[in-house]
Amino acid sequence: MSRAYYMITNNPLVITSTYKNIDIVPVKTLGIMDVLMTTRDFLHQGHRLITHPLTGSLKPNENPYKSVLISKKQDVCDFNDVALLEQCTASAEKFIKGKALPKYCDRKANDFMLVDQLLIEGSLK
Amino acid sequence: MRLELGKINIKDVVLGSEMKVSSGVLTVDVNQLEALVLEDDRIQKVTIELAKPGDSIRITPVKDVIEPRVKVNGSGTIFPGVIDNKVAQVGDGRTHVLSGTSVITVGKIMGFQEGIVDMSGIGADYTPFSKTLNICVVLEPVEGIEPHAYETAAREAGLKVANAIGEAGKTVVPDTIEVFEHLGLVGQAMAYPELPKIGYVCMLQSQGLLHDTYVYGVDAKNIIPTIMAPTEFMDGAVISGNCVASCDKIPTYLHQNDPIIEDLLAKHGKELNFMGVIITNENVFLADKERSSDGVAKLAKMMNLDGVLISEEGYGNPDTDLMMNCKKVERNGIKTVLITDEFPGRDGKSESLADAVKEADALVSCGQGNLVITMPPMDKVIGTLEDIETMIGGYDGSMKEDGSIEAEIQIIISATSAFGCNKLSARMY
Amino acid sequence: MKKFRVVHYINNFFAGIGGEEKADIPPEMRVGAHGPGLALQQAFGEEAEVVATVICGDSYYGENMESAEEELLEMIKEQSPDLFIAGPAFNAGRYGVACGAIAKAVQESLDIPVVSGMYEENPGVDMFKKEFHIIKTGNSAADMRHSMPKLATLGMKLLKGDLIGSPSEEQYHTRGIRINYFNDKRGSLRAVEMLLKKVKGQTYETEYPMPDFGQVAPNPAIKDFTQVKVAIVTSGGVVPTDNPDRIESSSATKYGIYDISAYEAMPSDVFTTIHGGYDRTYALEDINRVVPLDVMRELEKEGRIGSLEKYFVTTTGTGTSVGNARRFGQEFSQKLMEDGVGAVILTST
Repeated sequence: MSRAYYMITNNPLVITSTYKNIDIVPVKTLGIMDVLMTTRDFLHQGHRLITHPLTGSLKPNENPYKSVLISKKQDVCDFNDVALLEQCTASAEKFIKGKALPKYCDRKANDFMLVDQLLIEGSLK
Repeated sequence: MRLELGKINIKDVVLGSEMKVSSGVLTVDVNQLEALVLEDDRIQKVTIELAKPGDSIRITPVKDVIEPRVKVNGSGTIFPGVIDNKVAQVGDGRTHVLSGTSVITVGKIMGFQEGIVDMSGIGADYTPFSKTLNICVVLEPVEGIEPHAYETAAREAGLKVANAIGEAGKTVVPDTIEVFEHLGLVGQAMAYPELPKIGYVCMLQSQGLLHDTYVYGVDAKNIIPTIMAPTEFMDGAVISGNCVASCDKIPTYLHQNDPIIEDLLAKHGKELNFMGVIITNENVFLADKERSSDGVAKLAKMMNLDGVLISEEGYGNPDTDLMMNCKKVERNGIKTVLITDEFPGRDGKSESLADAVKEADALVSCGQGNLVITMPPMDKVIGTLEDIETMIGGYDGSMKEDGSIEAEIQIIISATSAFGCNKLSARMY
Repeated sequence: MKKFRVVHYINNFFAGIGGEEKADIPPEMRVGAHGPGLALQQAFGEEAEVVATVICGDSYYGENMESAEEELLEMIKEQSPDLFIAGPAFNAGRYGVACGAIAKAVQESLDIPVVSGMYEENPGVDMFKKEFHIIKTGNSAADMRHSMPKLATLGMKLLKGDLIGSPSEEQYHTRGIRINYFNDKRGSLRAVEMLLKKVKGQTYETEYPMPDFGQVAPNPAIKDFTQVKVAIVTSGGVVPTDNPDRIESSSATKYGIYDISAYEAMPSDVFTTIHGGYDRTYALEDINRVVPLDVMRELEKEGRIGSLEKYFVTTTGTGTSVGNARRFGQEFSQKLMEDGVGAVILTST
């Protein structure tokens, strides 16, 4: 199995890091939704989902940063992956509904970045 | 494997200069504990404070809750693989419990701190730890410490303190002694051939920093599903490194006092044959989820189980593991009941879980975490209120001028923990 | 003691104005209770008074949702009501959807309690059950005698701020709202007991029902499209410009089958869309956006599909009951199969 990946992420700590066999796909906006939408678009084109889109217990209404790993290799679109992503999107939406992402001071924003980064990195071998 | 669990009922705790239990009163040696914690040079300052049921005290931010226990005899020590580098098999012999007390580690690790324990008022109704005599260990790390290091330091501090306090119970005659015996898988099957064989699938949080659990000191991220005896949990074989979402957190205390294990053991040999515990993890890699859920289904089948209870820790990512475990176990012809909490949004109208399968037709709900309540101000705060508004469940404006807190019950420690320790539930209107 | 003021919404039929031929009447207001409003008034007794009845034709509402709502809201506001009752609509789909829409609007803009009543298959139930309480009724007006008092009772409870009981106690459709409560037993014990029941084959009740997944297993994938006759089916409400079969713009009770064999692409002067549930601007510019005839013709020419069926099947998706949708599918798929169609491109909006 190919070990090349794309990392879809809006996390500055992740964007500025280098990982072996992983190309970064940066997303500009904060919050989870655009990361999920970009991931969805890739899945439609046949990339496979490698990590779960809802990592961590920090809820989508408060966590500005999210990284998702997908395969670089394209195949036939996998409907299970798409279904999982749609469910995650629905789940994220219900948390975000009616709430704006808080504006964090640098230290706190950094904490959020760090946890997202470590959750993704923790499984990379 | 045979364990005698001796419970020493503690009626009160006082701070003092020795560690002892006498007539149900626990005295804790403050100097000893402080010195013990400060052995770790990652920690700059520590204070020991008490919080008792009914006090007007708010404890926050809480990192872990741990019950003081001690091995009286039998192999190993409490919290194997973590304290003092001792790692030996636990779960047999005799263990004493200082029942009714807990050690609570308090301290800021990151910007989104974990939650609140109120000892009185409406907030107290939602946490099990408003009913315990709490010895709070308030920690301050050295300047500039990296979060990973601080998490480890705080985790170890709590376990060391609980251990040291537990020692006070070693020679005390317990008020009650329960005996739990595991006859081996074949032995159990032969001992109760008529009873349904029940297993407990215990899902352990394992996503990464502040989202970890340790089994005999091993990071649960790195395990493949395996079988454990219920008594191993009683001796602290599984400890918590998870401190992000308060309401469905499983603190070490709940691993030690797993209500599912308790309720299964209560019926063991009478209505069911409790065959054992299958532990598994909740990794972020989908391939890991497939591997682990396959392993769970296989072990359940190898154990010839008729039914399993499956609990989880966390939300979102773990919901997928929960459903995979359910689906694969059911397809092996084994019945499942899932225990989980819910997040249907503030208005209660959205789908509660992030994943669903049609095989999950038997589910126990531990309540929904989005309910907003207002907790009255408390006379005393152990810890700090600084980060209330960035805690999960908190938001801009949560902290009121008069000291009361309006927040989702997500902010309360173990309010909706999916081990089912509370009576809180949710129903459909 | 103050008498509460109630406004009642009914349609052309229940107002005694006329049947289907009068379904296009615009909103109007009449003083006091009318039609089934009299039963409502009786149920309220002395506690409340139906001060006004607002009426609208079902298809008028469906085709002019925004303006009808505005007009009705004005009429309702003028009455300064304390409570708003809509229907009951029983199994009438368009009426149910109208009741739901106006009740939701009243609740939002006037901040007063609202109640309606519908039969379980009425599409209005699924659409609006989360917005407010909908009493369970029978499937026809024959049930009026039994249902109306329940609407009144629940309405009064809401007015007085009484604790509203469970769906089975108060007889409203389960709304799908999760509410916490403290059980007598802790969760782990309830789980052990539930498992024992399940293992022994006894009945048990889950505390959280899984969402309905539907029961249609997909057919196996097509291996070779070049041999297959394909048909286009749409729920986008595309019909000939004169809508000869009078397919409704919402809560459809019929489907249509129309010839497209003469066309290389959907012509905008021959076809239109009457669907009331989406902004039709882009569809009206180019109907191929909803019924992709142009692309299908290309595929046909390139030999990528065997052939394209000479007709397409159409209905309106929005507000259409699951029961009706199922029935349509069962019926026209028979015809498709008889005509040798092997696959369908289904477009929805």
